[in-house]
Amino acid sequence: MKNHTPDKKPDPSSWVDQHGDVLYRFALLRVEDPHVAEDLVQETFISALQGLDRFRGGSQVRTWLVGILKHKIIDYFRRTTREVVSSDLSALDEPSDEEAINRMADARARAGTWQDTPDNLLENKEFWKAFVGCMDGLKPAFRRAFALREMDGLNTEEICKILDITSTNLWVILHRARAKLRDCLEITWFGRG
Amino acid sequence: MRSCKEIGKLVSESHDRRLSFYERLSVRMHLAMCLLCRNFSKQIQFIRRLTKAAGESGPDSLLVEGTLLDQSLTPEAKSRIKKMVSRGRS
Repeated sequence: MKNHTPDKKPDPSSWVDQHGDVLYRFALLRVEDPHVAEDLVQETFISALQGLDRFRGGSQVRTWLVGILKHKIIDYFRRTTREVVSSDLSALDEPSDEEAINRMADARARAGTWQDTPDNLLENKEFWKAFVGCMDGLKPAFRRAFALREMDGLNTEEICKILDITSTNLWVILHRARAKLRDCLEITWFGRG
Repeated sequence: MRSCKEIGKLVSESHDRRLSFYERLSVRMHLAMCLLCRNFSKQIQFIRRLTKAAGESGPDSLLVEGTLLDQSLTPEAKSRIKKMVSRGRS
């Protein structure tokens, strides 16, 4: 029987069972495609093995793996930003967006105050289902910018570099993403019958 | 006097950049008078708070419990990755 300091001697063969699903969910929340999420998790384990001697036993294995995965996700965003973000960016100037904003203002006018507190919702599975559904409804560029900013707390300069956009564009994208999420949550959760 | 649309944008941007003195002033004055924009401002903060919780990966995070997402790696993916890991070690 080993002693109870599992991090002292890393045992990578058990990592997939112990951390695979959490890493997968972490990726799934940020990238649009489950297959991509799966690939990123796989790459994470490969990189972890290659960097095993750099792993300092003091920090938790999972924290370390999540750190690697974060970098993988950002690299993936960088690699694909040209095809994904530029088309979403051009949509920013389309006149149809004007209409969307009016609709938004209208939805805002109809919005009531949200009675729940965030803490009450944290353990509500049904709420998170609605939340993830709303995230999935965002255009990829919006979703990426929003996730990097609000989930991972990156600063705006870093995000601009990763997505290769100007800060003015980023502010617009973040505003639209928040407003759209708000509208969606109002419709699918807070304002429901 | 700025419109609700402009104020909404400034309220959002205040989380991403430092607003100018005049922008801050007009937001504050507008919010004092406008219930709908006050709602909007609160809702944005509400969403930020929840999103932050969703993104966390610590031991008690929603991802670990599966409250937020209950998807798992497929058995095929798992065994494929495991094979890779054991090959990588030998």
